[in-house]
Amino acid sequence: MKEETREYLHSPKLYLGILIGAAIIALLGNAAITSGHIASLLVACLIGATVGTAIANPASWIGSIVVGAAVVVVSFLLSLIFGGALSFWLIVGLVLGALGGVIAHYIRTSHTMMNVFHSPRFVVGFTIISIIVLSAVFYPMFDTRDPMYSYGDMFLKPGTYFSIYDANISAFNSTTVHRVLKPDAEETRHENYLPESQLSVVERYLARKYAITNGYIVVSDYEYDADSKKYSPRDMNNFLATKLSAQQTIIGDADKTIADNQAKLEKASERARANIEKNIVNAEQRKANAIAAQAELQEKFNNGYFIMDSEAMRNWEEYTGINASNEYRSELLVLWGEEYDPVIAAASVDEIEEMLGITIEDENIKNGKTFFTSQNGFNFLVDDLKTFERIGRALTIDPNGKMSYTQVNSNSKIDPIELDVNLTDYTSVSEVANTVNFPLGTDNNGRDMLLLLITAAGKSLLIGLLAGSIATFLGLLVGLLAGYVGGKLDDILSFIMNIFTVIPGFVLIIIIYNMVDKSQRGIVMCGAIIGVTSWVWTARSVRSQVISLRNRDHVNLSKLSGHSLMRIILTDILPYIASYVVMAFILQVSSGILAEAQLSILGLGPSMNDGSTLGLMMNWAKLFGAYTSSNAWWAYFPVIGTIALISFSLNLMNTGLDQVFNPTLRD
Amino acid sequence: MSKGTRKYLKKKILWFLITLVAAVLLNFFLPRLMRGAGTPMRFDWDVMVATNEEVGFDRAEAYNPSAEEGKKEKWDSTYDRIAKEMGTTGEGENQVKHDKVRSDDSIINLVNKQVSSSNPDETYYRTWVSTYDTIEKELGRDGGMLGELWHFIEHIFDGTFGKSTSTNRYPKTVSSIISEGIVWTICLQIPAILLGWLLGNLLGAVAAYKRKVWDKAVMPASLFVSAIPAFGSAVILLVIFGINLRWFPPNRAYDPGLIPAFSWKFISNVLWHYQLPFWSIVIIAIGGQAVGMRSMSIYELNADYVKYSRFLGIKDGRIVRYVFRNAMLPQVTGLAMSIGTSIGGALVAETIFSYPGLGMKMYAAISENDYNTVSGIALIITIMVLIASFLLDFIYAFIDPRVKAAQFD
Repeated sequence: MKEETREYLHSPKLYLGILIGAAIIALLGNAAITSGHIASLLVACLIGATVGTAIANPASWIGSIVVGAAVVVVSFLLSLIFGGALSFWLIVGLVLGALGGVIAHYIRTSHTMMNVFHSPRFVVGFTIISIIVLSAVFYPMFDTRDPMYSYGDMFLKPGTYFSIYDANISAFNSTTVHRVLKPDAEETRHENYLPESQLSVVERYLARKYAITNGYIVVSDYEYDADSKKYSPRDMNNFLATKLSAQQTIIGDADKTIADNQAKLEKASERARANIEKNIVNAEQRKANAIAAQAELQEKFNNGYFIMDSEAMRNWEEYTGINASNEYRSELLVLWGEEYDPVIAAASVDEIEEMLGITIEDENIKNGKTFFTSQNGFNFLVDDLKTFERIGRALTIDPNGKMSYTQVNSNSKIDPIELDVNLTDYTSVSEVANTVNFPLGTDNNGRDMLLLLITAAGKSLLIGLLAGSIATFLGLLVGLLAGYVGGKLDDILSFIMNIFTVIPGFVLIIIIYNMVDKSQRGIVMCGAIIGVTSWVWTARSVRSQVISLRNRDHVNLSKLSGHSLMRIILTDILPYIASYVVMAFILQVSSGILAEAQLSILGLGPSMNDGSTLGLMMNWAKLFGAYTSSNAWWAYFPVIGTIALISFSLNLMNTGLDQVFNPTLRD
Repeated sequence: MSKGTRKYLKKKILWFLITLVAAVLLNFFLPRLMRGAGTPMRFDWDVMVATNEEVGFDRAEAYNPSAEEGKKEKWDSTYDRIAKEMGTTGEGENQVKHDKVRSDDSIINLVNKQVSSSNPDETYYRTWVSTYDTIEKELGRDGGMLGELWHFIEHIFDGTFGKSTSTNRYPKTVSSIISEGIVWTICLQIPAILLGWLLGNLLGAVAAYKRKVWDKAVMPASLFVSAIPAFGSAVILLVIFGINLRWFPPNRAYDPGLIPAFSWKFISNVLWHYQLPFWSIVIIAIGGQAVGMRSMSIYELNADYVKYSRFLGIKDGRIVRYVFRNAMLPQVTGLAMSIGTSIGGALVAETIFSYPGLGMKMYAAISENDYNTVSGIALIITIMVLIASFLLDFIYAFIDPRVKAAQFD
């Protein structure tokens, strides 16, 4: 051990750094555990490890960041492999963070390590792979959507916006209300933003505006159950029944009052009689009012007057481009009053037909059942709309400005109707409320390609890392034993290596893979199988290098001093082949990723339901005709590019390392 | 031939033979460990009889795909129920067996094809069993694992590698399946790898010698191209030239309407279909070889003997010849090994272009649990690689002075 390093290990600075880093990790990590989000744990580890390392070793802050990032990646991968036990990985992150200071110090003081970062090839490769790894780790933190969530449309072009407002199909003449819940529907629901009082403001406002009895309009078309914290569709028949029964109570009360008073009337004195008769008249009046109210309720209900749903408000939001977030809600109410077109909304079917010069074909509108939504006002402005068939369609706008609606009904039957609506009908696409953007389009199942690609790259890297680690470990073990021990052991091990060399590795992987039950083929199994079948060439090269080292003077000296086999291998042989092993490891990772991709394309990929791998994405693209029938380049080209970029950067790192470690190769 | 060389060769031949035996054993056992391989099917007879009686189904029609749909469905559901009652279906292995029986690949299907429907009831079972036994015998499965191994080895020596265990190809021998595919694979792979190797080495050598722009441009480009996976280049070529531009056909080795013949029409059609898979392999090979050749050449150009030769005043052209001859040696090794091991990449590339080579045969065999064919193909590949590496050792003993020197250590 170098004197400098020894000194460093004994300096209080290091331990102060470790303590502070650990404290930060523990504090933030605790918060992360309570929030239950693995991403925040990683951020905690990064901050803790970086700060700790930086304090311990202030001269090498770049090293601190590198080590800190490495800690995060390692703890992330570990947590992926072994799953949930957050607190356990918190401790692991802590220990790794503590080691960070030592490693950063080593990087700074080691000449070779600094040389590595002076090789432009290595730096470029390292930068590319770091970007890929870091985005695979950090992107899912900012975009917490489920990568496997299907938005419903196959192979949407890159750049497509997809409106995800909670389209509801209110079939007025049927008893059930269908609703398709899109991912952020829960968040955009009015009830989440508007307190009960404001909801009633809207209701009162609308009731006044359209001269309807107060209480007949319901803005919220969903009922919130405080116990289960869930919304459920408001049962309109039940709604009517409660309203009717409220009136019935009034009638009952009135009847009772009348009966009581009539009983009193017989015994009452002349003077009291007038008062009692007045009571009876009043009660009869109340009863008559209630009966009239019931009849009106029934009639209004039959005419669909109850529905003043959030759909109308949403359409209006969409039209004006106001994405109604929490703080805008009260302003929205004002705007609602100012800009909502009451003329259109209140117009009768005949008037609308006259105004627009069109014929309304929709039966619901014709029967006057839908004219209470802002539908009509909305459609008036989009003058190319031929009909009023707007309710219950998800809006899709592709980059060329072509807008299409997709029927999203309860049977989830997709029935796109292309309407010639120009994008200019909106001020800007970004002003359409509640949309998801697909920068890389969607895949065969309507999943967001970008999110899927980034998470898949992470999973593939994990498989590569696992396969590479296993292969390098096995290769190193066998190579060292065969090379150093020699003799019979060497013969046996070389024999095994020869056999593994002549049986084509990929064939071997396929055969072994077929022995494993399909349900058990997870990421770990996939990486392990690839690792177990590809260690041979590492072993071969390690063996030949060890043989050339075996008879060096320093090894002989060590032997003469009576050092143990382990010690000789660890101190006299391993350091000399360490650079080679690192290079072999990098190549193994790259070929592991490739092997996974090839397996998956043949349909033998890992089976999982929480994400994808790059190979699986290629397989899906192939199965669903992305090359041929759909011609969806975005479904496979970015995947090929990512695989190529990963192996390119790893190869580049490798040649960079080669140049540093083999001076004869330098330019 | 010196004494050292002879000793070296003797040792190599011994190794070759031992490895061959081990490889044969491994290629025999590994495919047989695949799930469901070699499960006996006779237990199914009773279920079948019971089912047929209940449904009143003609036995020979039981597995006949042309049987009336409704009838077949009824038979299927009854079969399922009875099989469940008799405990021949269930979780795990039994389920696999059961699925195997029901699939078109099952031995029962094979048997039913051979048993005539006009047989009287009593003889039907006997015919069934005897046909079953004949097939089992023919596949060498009657004598347990050891018998099967003996059967496997026996058929290696008569060159047939036994018979296919898949119904789609059953009476066919494995050797005929291999010979159907191997021509396409060899004709595709070897010229492509050779051309890629030649071009790549040329490019690498020029890059190493000229340096400057060549090196700056060629090196990163080759590194990137060599990083593209084989299936990636296949897909890109397929989409650009096969589907969008329609310059070349996107799949198959020749038009489905053509009959293989030694005619200009057929050969030109084959060459036409040949372009996309061929170039997809060449492009990848160029990149990889250029990278390797460049670093080998730079290594040799900096070697002491080059400096010494310069001091001696030997002409540059001559030195370059020495340098590249030395740099080529490891590249030759790479060539020999890549021909043997390219099967993995070839398998995927062949499936993308639906090219009827060994890769496709292997893939089909694996998915149909045709372990005899898997064994056969794996063995052929193994032997190819083994011979290639042996020849290499053999040639090295004569051409590379460094190997010669090593023999006397």
